[in-house]
Amino acid sequence: MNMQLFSAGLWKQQTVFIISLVIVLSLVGLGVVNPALLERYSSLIHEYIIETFGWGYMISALAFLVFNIWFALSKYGNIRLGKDSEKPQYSYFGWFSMLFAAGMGIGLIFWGVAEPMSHYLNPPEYLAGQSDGAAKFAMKYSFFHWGVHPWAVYITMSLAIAYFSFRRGMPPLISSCFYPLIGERIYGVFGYCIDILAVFATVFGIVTSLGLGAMQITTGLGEVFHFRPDFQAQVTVIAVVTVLFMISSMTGLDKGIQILSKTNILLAVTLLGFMLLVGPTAYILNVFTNTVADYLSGLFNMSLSTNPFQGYAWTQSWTIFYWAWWIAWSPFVGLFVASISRGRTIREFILGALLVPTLLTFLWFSVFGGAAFFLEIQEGAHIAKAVSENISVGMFRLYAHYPFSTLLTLITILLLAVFFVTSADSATYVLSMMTSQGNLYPSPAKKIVWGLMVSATAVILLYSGGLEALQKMAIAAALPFTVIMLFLCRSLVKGLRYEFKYLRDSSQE
Amino acid sequence: MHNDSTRSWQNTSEDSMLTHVVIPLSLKEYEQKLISMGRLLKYFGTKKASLIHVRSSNKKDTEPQDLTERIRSYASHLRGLGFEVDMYFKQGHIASQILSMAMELEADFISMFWESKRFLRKALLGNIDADVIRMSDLPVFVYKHSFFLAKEQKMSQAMYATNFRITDSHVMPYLTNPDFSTQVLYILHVGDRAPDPQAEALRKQQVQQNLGRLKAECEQAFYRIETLDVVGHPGNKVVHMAKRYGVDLLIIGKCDEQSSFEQIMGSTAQLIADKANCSIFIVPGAQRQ
Repeated sequence: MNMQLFSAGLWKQQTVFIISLVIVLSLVGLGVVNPALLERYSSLIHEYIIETFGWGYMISALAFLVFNIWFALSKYGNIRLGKDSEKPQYSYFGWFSMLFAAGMGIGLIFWGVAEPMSHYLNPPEYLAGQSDGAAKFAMKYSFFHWGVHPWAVYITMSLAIAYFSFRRGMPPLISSCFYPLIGERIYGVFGYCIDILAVFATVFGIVTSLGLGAMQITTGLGEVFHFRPDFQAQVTVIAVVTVLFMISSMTGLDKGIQILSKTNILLAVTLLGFMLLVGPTAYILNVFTNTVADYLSGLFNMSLSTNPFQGYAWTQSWTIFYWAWWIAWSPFVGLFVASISRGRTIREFILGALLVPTLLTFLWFSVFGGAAFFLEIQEGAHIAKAVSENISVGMFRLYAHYPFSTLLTLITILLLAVFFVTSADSATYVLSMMTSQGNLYPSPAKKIVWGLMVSATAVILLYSGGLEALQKMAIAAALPFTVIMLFLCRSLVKGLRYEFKYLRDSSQE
Repeated sequence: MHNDSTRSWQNTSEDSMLTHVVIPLSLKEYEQKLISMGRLLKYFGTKKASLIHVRSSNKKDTEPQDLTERIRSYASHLRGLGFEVDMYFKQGHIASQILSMAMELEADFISMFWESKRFLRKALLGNIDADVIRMSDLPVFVYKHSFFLAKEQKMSQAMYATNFRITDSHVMPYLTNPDFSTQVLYILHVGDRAPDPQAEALRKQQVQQNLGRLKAECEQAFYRIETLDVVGHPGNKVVHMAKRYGVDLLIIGKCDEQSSFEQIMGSTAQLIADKANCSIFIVPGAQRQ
């Protein structure tokens, strides 16, 4: 019997691994051989999904947020993600650092200045570009896109995984979370499909993130050292990052990712503090206070504003794109966040993951976005125009108006590189775990395979120009994942309700 | 356990728990339908039937004289089956009047015909049968008429759907009473799947233990007892299993304290009464634990 189970497990492990690898290689192969074809089809699918199901993403994201708040405040909030007597594996600082590094870090550096400036220059058509209204709108929507909604998506996924794996003793796989709904069928085709889709979304997400991150690092280095950020430079950056994240990956979760994440948070907070003190402090704090008020008062409105009459195209290309992106990212971030959250109560987990990173994000946007607005509006610096020409230069153009700009640029590049390494490291870990039947300690060989695979794909697609097409494919995976996540909520409620109703009673008797 | 497989399952006992029935009538029922229901009631050992017609206050389309003649005709059919019959007319809120009359007469249970109503009609006009089930503190027998079975009404297979926790204490007195019996009893448990395989195995084990306990308790009253355990939504699964096993009577308990969702959408008992193909015996009064 045990042998049979072992064989079945081994077969599943290899099935998910092989099928995922074949799908990824096929699409990457298409991206290399005929990037135009991949671009055409991925654009078609992507546009169709965004055009047709955009409203669904909006409703789902709000539903996840409501679901999380309800869960945190409900009687289930006291349930621990682990055994009743377990204590959290990581300190608050370590936990928040890793949460932030895996979930947002790299994106915030990329968009910290670029997003508010982009919205300011090109707001929806019902607002005049470069107006006071556009500035207010830009900050409000930057908060909105990076606020509680993405975390609600991540938390939903990771809460289910953490509950079913640490509390209920199942492998940390997304398919495990469906046991209350479909029982033993999680070990069949349905379970394979979910896990393969998760691998697919994670690989493509991390490849595009790696590619775009490499472009920004190269741009930053080019600004400091005055060279042209060409393909060769990008490959060099990816190669260095690959070596670093493979080393980090081999040292394991407890050391590699945690140390890097903590270092990065300290660096980020230092940078934030410097910009706040040296920059227009009162202006930045006014921007923060005002935008928090706008955000809180307009949260529900923004959550469901699809703007069908005017500004629909803007909503599609920003809000709905982001929502799809967060959902596509959720298998990776969800699994990673779950793996670092063992021992926390549901309430602590939800409130901590929802509020602390969001607050730091708001501060980040207020400091960098606010400083950029001060220069743009008060001093006529053309940061918005520079961003519209090349999004990855936003942060570096801002530094040009500050003392120690070269040092700031180098710190940002370091920050970017370390976030980059932690993202790639955690993605490699998650991919290896997903393709090892949820083994929390996957083999180094599997980590090497996925690590090299991700880096090689990023290089190839940077060369062939198929990176954006791949990003669109990743986003296309968000549609089935939205449905999967809605059922995940149902499954989690069923599981917790059962535990509360029967297992707790029996344990008390 | 009864060893005599040729036993007549028609109840002749003097101390049946279901001696006196209240039968609400709209007076539009087919007589054959009433006769078929009467035949089934004999299985419960019912001796006395109180026929009640309640006129809602705004209904003036039929003369009382016609109604009296009609109800007398129904009564004579039931007397022909050996029932002692009395008749009552009431006016007011139909479900409330039926229930208060049943309490006043100290009836043992209410027996009524289930009229399947389309969604829109149910939404607009309400459903008196569902109101009676919802409000009743007495057991309610819901008779589902089948024209194919009208002449050969039988009560050979019953199914008791249990959740172990809420309804057993109220339903078991009926099941363990040999007067309320059929040849075969299926004891069905419909429950939620546990959140992990280990807990699920434990759940199955506990369910089997509980089913075994209930089976042992009922053993004296039935010729054959089978136990069933399925996972899913009780409302749908009970109906499905009753159909699959071709049972003649479905026995369920009704919980008085409903969740907010049930208060809006109707209880599981109401759902089963609406969807099941066979007759249903609903025992009320259980408190949610």
